[in-house]
Amino acid sequence: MTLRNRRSAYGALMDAVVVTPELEQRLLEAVTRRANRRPAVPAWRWLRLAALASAVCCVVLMVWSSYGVPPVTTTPPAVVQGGYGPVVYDDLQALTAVLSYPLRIPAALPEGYELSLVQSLPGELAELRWSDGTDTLCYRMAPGAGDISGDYNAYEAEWTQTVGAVPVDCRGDGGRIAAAVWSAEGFSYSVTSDAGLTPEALAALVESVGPV
Amino acid sequence: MEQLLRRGPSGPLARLRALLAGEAGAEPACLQPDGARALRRHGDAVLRLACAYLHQRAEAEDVLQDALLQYLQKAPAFADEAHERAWLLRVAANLCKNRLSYWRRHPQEELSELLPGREEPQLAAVWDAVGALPARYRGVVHLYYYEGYSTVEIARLLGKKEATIRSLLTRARARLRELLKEGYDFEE
Repeated sequence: MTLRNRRSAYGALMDAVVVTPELEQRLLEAVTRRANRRPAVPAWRWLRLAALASAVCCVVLMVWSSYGVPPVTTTPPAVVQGGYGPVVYDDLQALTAVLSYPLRIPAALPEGYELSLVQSLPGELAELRWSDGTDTLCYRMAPGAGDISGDYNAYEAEWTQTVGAVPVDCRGDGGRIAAAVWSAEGFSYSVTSDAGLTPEALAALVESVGPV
Repeated sequence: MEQLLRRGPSGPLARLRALLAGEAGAEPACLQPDGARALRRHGDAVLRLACAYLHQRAEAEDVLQDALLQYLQKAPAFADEAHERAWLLRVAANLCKNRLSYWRRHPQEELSELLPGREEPQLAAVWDAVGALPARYRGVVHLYYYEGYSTVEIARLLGKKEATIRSLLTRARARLRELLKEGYDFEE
């Protein structure tokens, strides 16, 4: 007699394990009740939902920022306007290439001055500096009218000097011109000098302003 | 109650296929899940397998209830009654393994619950011997010796290799032979 043919002791034990009518009724009622119950969402599923929501938020933010914020570039902007600081160029050609207007610069400078800096400032303001080792001459040009010299020092005297038909507002001490400002043909110009310019040197400079 | 436990057709695709095959309104060929019918047909087998694994009647009844619930919520349409039985036994086996795993982490107080007929000394000895086997042996022994499944079928049902099942059976027989001695009556 073997267990394989179900007449063994183990078979006899297991034959006695049956689902009684009472158990069947109880099981069906319990299962019906549980099947109709709204399943509770386990904690791990909430965590997974939270992680998924976080990932979606990150993706949305990344997409939004890529469309909503201007891209950061390493090269200087093609147009100077809208920049947030001075942009230095290697030479005059580089500056003129990015300006939206034709740059005019002085040709007649006091002797011994050499070009030391070429840069632009917000508002398409072009600035050139020459130096002779001790003094620095700063020339600026920008569209519009007004004082673009950036020199807010107080000087002993302020006067207007006419160069050709152009009135030039001058400021300085001891008859030397520390800052001069003038306008012509829709553009503003200014010249500042640490050591100060003579009226003759200023007149020569203003008269020599022309295309690059 | 039976109406509540009966599920509808397995899905829109199955219904569409039946419609295209001109079987509209006809009873589908496959066996649709029906909780009450499944309990009547396979309840005893599921309860016995759970008893074999867990050796506790109350826990086995809970497993039967859980298996029935899964049957109602997840069971596919079955090819035939044997397929339905095998599906339920597999679910029950997995539920039992989950409980055993939980018990290993959270040790339970041993329950001295008696099965019917266990009062006889010979039956009690066999029950204790089988109960002394590791749980993975008990399930295989039950499915092979009581349910009459082949090792291939058990392997498919439990998701294991046939060689593993054969190995488990061999070891289980050796342990039972050792424990039961002359009372050993397991066919080789």
